[in-house]
Amino acid sequence: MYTKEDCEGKTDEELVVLTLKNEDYYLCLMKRYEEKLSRYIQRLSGLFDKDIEDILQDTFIKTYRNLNEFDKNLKFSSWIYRIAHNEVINHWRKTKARPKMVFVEDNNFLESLVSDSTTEMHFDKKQKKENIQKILNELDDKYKEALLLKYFEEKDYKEISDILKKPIGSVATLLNRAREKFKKETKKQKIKF
Amino acid sequence: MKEISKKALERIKKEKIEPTPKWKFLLKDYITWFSFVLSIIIGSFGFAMVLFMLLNHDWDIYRYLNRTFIEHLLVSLPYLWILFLLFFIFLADYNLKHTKRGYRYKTYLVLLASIIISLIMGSLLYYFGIGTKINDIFAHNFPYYRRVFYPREEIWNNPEKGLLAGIITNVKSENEFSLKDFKEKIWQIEAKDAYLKKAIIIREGEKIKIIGELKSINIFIAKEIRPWVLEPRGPRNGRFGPEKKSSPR
Repeated sequence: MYTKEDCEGKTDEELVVLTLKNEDYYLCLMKRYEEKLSRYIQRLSGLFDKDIEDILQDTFIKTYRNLNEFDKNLKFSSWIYRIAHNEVINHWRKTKARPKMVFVEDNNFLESLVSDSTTEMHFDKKQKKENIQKILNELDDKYKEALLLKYFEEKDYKEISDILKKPIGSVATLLNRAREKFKKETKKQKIKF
Repeated sequence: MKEISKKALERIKKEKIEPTPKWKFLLKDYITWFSFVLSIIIGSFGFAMVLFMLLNHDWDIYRYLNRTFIEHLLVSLPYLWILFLLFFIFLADYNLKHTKRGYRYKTYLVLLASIIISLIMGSLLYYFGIGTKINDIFAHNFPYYRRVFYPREEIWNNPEKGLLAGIITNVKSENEFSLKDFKEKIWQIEAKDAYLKKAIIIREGEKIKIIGELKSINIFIAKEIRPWVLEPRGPRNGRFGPEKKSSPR
């Protein structure tokens, strides 16, 4: 088993090459993404620990199986996020469960959303958060996914394009529309920020 | 939750999971690209057929068929080949989107590029006579196709309405010849005042269509004679043939 020192200083892409020679290096990659992907899967699916663990493990296994497909022109993080995203979709299809994304955890998300929006928003409290959660959950899945990656996972447009496999222009359009719909809905429900 | 990585690695070792060999991914990629190119090529054949149908259709004979021009247009458009072309254009887009980086291109750009390529290649195919050949194959082997999608023979088998077509069987003189129509009936054609369109040659074996007037049960007066198919210019059988000249009057 390799130690933390074996992994440090190596890029994801270097670890991929090493993993293909020795599977033990894969532990380094998984540890780098375990927490991030757990949170992402949890936010995307709204599921609980056991299901998240299963999806995460499936993600890691699938990533390992497809390591030879990894395109070096892509960021490894975008690639593994794409696999995690697809595994969540597969889970929904198997369980026929509707996605219930969990967005509102802290104020940073809303502040990020506000700074990209022309509406001035002032904060309130728990009720506002619940209202926002409700509004966000009423958006179409494609808007929710884009918002999640942009404001929670802090991915840039190119990364979101690679994760969702959509052209960059389409990602920009999705985010603009998501923000517009959000704004419209907050006005309709008379939520002031 | 923190043990997930270790559990995953244990499972990899226990189940002896291995990375899929690179050649399988390469093969998949090549097949997808090949399918994309093939879709464009087949779409081009579709366009060659659309071009063939549009250029060989007699858009001016609607008067003889008691139709308005719009009715004639709507009935005459080559829907089958247009749908064929569109299907393969969309298939090309689907295949490109499934390549490694194809998702980066906007759908409308891919469709536009595919259409343009198919139009250019299709025009070349038509120019070299491929449209004519494909149509002949379908018309001879699929009666349903001939009846439904290429009903020109039925349209031109209307001597009462002044439309007649068939194969020249015997040339008696420059003003008179025999014609066997598509129902095998023999007609005597009087062509004294006929206008010969598009450099037609009146000779035995030539397939023609005639606008004129029914004189009697088997005599037809020709006012205008046209070739059955407008041959695209270009080499035939790998060499340039002589230009067709109108028969001397």
